[in-house]
Order: sequence, then C-alpha cells, then structure tokens
Amino acid sequence: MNTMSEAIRELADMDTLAAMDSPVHRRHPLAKLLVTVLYIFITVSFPIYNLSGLIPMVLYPVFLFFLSGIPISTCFYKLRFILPLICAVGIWNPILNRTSLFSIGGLTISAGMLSFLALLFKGIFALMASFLLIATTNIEKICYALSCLHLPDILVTQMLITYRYVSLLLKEAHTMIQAYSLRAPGQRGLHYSTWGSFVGQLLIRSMDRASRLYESMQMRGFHGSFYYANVEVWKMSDTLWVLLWTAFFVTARLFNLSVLLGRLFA
Amino acid sequence: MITIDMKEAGFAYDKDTVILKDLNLTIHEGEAVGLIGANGAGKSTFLKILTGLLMPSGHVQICGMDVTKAHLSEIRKRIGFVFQDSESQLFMPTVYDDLAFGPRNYGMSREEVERRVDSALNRMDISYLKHRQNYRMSGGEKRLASIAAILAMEPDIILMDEPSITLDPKNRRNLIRLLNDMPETKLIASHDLDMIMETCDRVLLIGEQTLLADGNCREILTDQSLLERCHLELPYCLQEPVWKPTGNHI
Repeated sequence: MNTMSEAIRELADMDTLAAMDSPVHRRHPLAKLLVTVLYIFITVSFPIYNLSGLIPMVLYPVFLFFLSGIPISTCFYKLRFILPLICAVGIWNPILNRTSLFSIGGLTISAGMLSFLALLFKGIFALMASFLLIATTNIEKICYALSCLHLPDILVTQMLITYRYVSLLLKEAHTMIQAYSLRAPGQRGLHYSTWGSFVGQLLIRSMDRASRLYESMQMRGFHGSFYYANVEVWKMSDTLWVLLWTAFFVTARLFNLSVLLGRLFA
Repeated sequence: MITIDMKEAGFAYDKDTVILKDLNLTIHEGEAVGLIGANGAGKSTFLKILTGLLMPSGHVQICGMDVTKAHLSEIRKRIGFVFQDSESQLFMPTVYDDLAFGPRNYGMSREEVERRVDSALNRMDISYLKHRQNYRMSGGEKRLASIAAILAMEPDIILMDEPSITLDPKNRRNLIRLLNDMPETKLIASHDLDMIMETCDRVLLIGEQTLLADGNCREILTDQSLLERCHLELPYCLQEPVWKPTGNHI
C-alpha cells in the first residue's frame, strides 16, 4: 500500500531536483535537450565491441553530476527498476558468443562478454543522461525546448498535461487504496472482485478532478497552449555548452580516446 | 456601476435536470455578497455560470458583457475564481509558477508577472511560500496560495467557493481581514455563516433551484425559520453557547 505514496513522492522529488539552482540548472533547456539527444545518439552508435572507446563518454554524466550537485546515488536509486532490464538485454551474449578475444591476468574475455558490457554501459550512460536532463530541467522547460524545435503545440501540451495527470491519477489511486485498506484490515492488496469497480471509480474520479483542474486553468487564461515566459534567454554560454560537448562527443566517437591516452602514458 | 446582471438566468443539464432557474439580480461594483444555501443547492453552479464554465440560459452580463463564448476571454480576465478544492487549482510545480500562470497566459511582461506575484504573496502574507513546491504544502497553505493565485490576476470581481474551509482559526481570521480590505467586488459562497456575517453586506440565499432571498446580511442571517427551511442554522455567534470558556487549562 505504501508503493503508491512512494511513487507520488518520487515524482515530486524529481520536481524538487529540477527546482535546484546550479550552473546546469541555469542552462537553456534547449541547450540541455540538444546535448542530451546528441549524447544518447552518439553513445548508442558506438560499435558493439568498442568498449574502450565508449568509456570516455562517462565524462559527460559525471561532469554534470558534479556540476549540478545531484548525488549519483539518487540517479541509480530512481533507475533501480530499469537497470535490471538493461542487464537483461545483453545477458545471453556471454553465453552465446564465447569467442575469446584477449585475457587480463588469466581471465579470458570473450566477444560476448565484451558486447554485453558495451550494451550495459550504453544503456546506463543513456539513462544517466536522460535522468540528468529531467532532474535539472522541469517538465515545463522541457516542453518549452520541444516547442522551440517546432514540435506541434498540441503534442507538447499533451505531454505536459499527461505528466501532471499521472501525479493526479496516482494521488486519487492512493486515496482510494487507503480508504479500501482501512476497511479491509489484514487483506493483502485489492481483492480481485473489486478490481473492476476500483478501476472504474479511479477513472471517473481522476477525470472529474482533471476537469476541475482544466476549469481552473481556463479561468486563468489557458487556451490550449502554455505560455512560457519564465524561460531563460539563450546566452553565449549556452552556445558554448552545445559546441564544446558536441566537439567532445564527436571526438570520442571518431577517435578512441582511451587508447590515445594509454599511448600517451605508455 | 453594475458588475453582475442576471435576468431570468438559470442552468439545466437537460430539461429534467434543472439546477437553477429564474435568477434575477444585480451586483454593483465593490459590493461584498455572500452566497448561501444547503449542500447541492447550486452555489458552485451559480458561480460557474458567471464565469462561463457552465453556459447559462437567460441573460447574464459581467461588466456589461454577455456571458457567451465570444466574451469568455475578456470576462475571465475580469473575474477571479477561487475553487472549492485548492488541490485542483494548484497544478504547477511551485507556488511562484502557479501565481505566474494567469498573468503569463495573458502575455504580461516578465517584470509585470514578477510584480503581480510579489504583490499577491504580500497581500496574503505568504511570501515565504514563494518558491515552495505545491506538493510540500499543508491544506491551509494550499488554500492561501490558491487565493493568491487569483489575486495575481488582479481581477475586478472575485468569486470564492468555500474560501475558509481547511483554514485554521488564525488563517481564517487573516482571510476575513483580507476580504474586508479588498476593494474588489466579491461573491463568496460558503457555509461559514459567521465569516459571511463579518465580510458581506448582502446575502443571496439559494434553495429550491432558485434565489429564495436577496437582501441585507443581518436580516437574512437572523431569520431562523428561513434558514432552517433551507437546511441552514443561525450563525454560531448568534446561537446560545453550549459551553462557557474556562481558560485555565495551561
């Protein structure tokens, strides 16, 4: 029964993180969105056996964690349900592809193991970058960035309203579950005989609440699209942010920085 | 100057579900009017037809404009509506964003938005909540923030649906003080008859789908038989106290 309140709290926590103040938080949302998309795209594009080439890409999330003041442990805690899925994606690779490539201190590394690790890192890096974007930019600003990219207004507003609707739905479900559990002591979860009416009631209640919320928005001049006036203006530092990270990502993709560094110190 | 004018106004979902009918009244600029009635009498519907959230039948005018789709935007700029449920009114992540939502939607400059937000927070004496997340506020704080969100719109007419519920006695007292200081036209729907007594000069009593009484606050709120006919009671301050204060418990 606590899962629901936990979910509501976690959702609110993301807003708390996004409300923090740091050099990353102050970046223009479009700059952050562009860099994140580029980062994910380049990270995913690394060849499957190029693990050493992929490693330097960790610098971007690490740097952002450091600069934003968001603890890395928060990221892994929030992503705890998705991380096993990433592991599951490549879990069969070490078993199916046992071609040995090299050995480190007597431990033979197979092609499958290498590709598994590469997939794992790609997934983790991409998730960390997405998390950092959401944790440093609230949903309104992300939607603003999307509208800067000329995404249709209806799509952007839909996304924004859906995000708000999720928390509303969770709150309604939480209240209903609490009321249910107080009148069904000792019972684990919802009895299957109540599932139908529970879902029906939840839908009606949340729609009712959503319509009240919409009325409140209408009363304050809302006509179908959000007005984003509080968004920072694009600064020279935002341009630099995009250019420097783009240069780094492209360099890391074209040249194996790990190997180059290794040669430098060898 | 007449700010609200209703002639033969009403609202029905269909011909068998009539909520309100035959409403005839005028409210002048600066008047403070209480709207009372039993549960389900149609107080919230009354407020909603003034804002065009529900389209009325008959003739309803706000500041000289008919409540029709063509005038909705302008009418809503003039009317602030504090909803019964603050949870439904506050939907942005922080109090600041919520207060700024209305002024931003009307295309105001950043400076003007900032000025209005600060002024509304000061009027409600909740400047300390400016950057608070809505999720992390108590019910009473949410109520005060939702009223501030309406004040930030600087409307000519303020409609309030049960403004004192969820407020503790001190905040309720502050709200009464604030309402008395507000120069705007006010229409306050509430079961808190004591608050209505303290803040309004005139009362509209809704019952039996229509306006049963419209008159001086003191006259209506002291008419016990009329109030009881409408499932209401005399305000507590006019009733015989059940207990006498002792004041020596600490």
